[in-house]
Amino acid sequence: MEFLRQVLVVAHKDVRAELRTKEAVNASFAFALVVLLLFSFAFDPESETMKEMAGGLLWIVYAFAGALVLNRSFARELPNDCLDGLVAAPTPGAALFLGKALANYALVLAVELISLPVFGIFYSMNLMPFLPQLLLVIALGAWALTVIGTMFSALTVNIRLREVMLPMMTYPILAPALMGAMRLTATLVQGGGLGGDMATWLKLLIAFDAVYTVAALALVDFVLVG
Amino acid sequence: MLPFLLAQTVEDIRFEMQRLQRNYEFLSYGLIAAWVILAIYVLMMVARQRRLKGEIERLRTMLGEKRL
Amino acid sequence: MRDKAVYVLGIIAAALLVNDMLHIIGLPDEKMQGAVFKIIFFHVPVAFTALTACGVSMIASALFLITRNFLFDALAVAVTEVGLAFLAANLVTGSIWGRETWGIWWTWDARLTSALICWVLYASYLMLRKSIEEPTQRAIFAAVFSIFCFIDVPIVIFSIKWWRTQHPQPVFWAGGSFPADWAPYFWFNVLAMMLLGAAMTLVRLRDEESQRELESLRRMANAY
Repeated sequence: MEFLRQVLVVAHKDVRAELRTKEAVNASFAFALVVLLLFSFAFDPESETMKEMAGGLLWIVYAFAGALVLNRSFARELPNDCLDGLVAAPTPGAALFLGKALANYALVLAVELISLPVFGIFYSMNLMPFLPQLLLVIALGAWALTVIGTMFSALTVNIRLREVMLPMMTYPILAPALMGAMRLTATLVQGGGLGGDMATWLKLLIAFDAVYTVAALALVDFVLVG
Repeated sequence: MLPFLLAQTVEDIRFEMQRLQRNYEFLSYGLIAAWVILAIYVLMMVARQRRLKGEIERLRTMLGEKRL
Repeated sequence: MRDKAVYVLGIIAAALLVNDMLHIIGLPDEKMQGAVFKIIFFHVPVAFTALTACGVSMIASALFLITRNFLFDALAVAVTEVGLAFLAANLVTGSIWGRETWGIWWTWDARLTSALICWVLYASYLMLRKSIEEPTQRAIFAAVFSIFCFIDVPIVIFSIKWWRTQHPQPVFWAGGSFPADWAPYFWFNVLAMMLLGAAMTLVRLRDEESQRELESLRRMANAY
């Protein structure tokens, strides 16, 4: 119970700090918008093959835009030695990590949900018929992105070239989860369901989320405390 | 051997011989490339070792002089 | 002592390899692919060695986190680097083999793609180490990242296999059959590659130790 309260306190603090400035969310959303715009030059947005590529496109936008939010998660605590204060506070590292991850999850999801209708309008796709399934896929994919991104944000917080190292480490690890999310989204856009072959991808995505959440919670104390 | 027995014309036989020749070429390219990669890596390690040794020597003498 | 071990391992590996080579040259060509199929005697053992290196690096990283003995940290980085060199050899031989049997240098085939992802993962492990100055922090962070990477390897291999089986493949594995009497040479080659990898790891460990000595000397020099 105490653990849960600590998690919520950290999450609440992070969300409030972000909402005061809205720096990361604004930057992330603007970036998503620009990438969506640029992709319209890469492919013919009117063509039928666009539907096959939509899943991949959407998740590339999400992965890149999400990194902007996650990058700042621990870096935000560096001025005034806030990070040392947080680590010294009588909360377990796992609670601190989970709180930060939840806050990041809320922010990443917010950016994704705002850019989703923009994506639908720009590429003339009616997302309404399969919206619940799509939201499930987005929720699972965003958690994979968040848990890996938050962990590596903690890993890279003190190092040179932080902005370069975070994507270098995050995207290869995320490859299976992104593949699953892309495949599921593409199937939904093309009018398919989540049964059959797609159920395996869904299971893979859930397993990825679960395995890395456990691994991160188990190892985060080494990263934060030493 | 089988393609040779099935070959009907001189042309077929020549083609088959060329294919075998190319096969051997690619086999040797593959093996050479792989060994070259491993050899380059070993050379890189040796070079690094030499550089580190030199630097350690330099620092040692420098520290020795300071102590005197 | 260690130099001797390197030489002994290297000589055993070389003897095994030469012995295998002489036998392999004498073997008949594979029916469908011809001589180029024999690259499998090199290509696959190298991959086995690289995969073993990933596993050893994971175990060494976990042991470092538990014991805080820097020997394990040195072992982890040494074995990862050697594994990367072997994986590079595997990728290149695979590419050349593919050029001959499939007609193209690269295809997004399941095995090639997973090998490439693993290569990139462990390359970023080395980059992470390079960008952290403080030795203890570097060792801890790298160990955590190495464990994360190793968890990813089976997921990557599984998911890419699944991804590719649903796609019509541009080319097919051109029905290579592996005769039973070839197997002993194949396994001897695996053994030889592992020994070679172990010897290279020992050499790399010496580099790491010199590096450490240099760092402590530098600190002393600064202290004066």
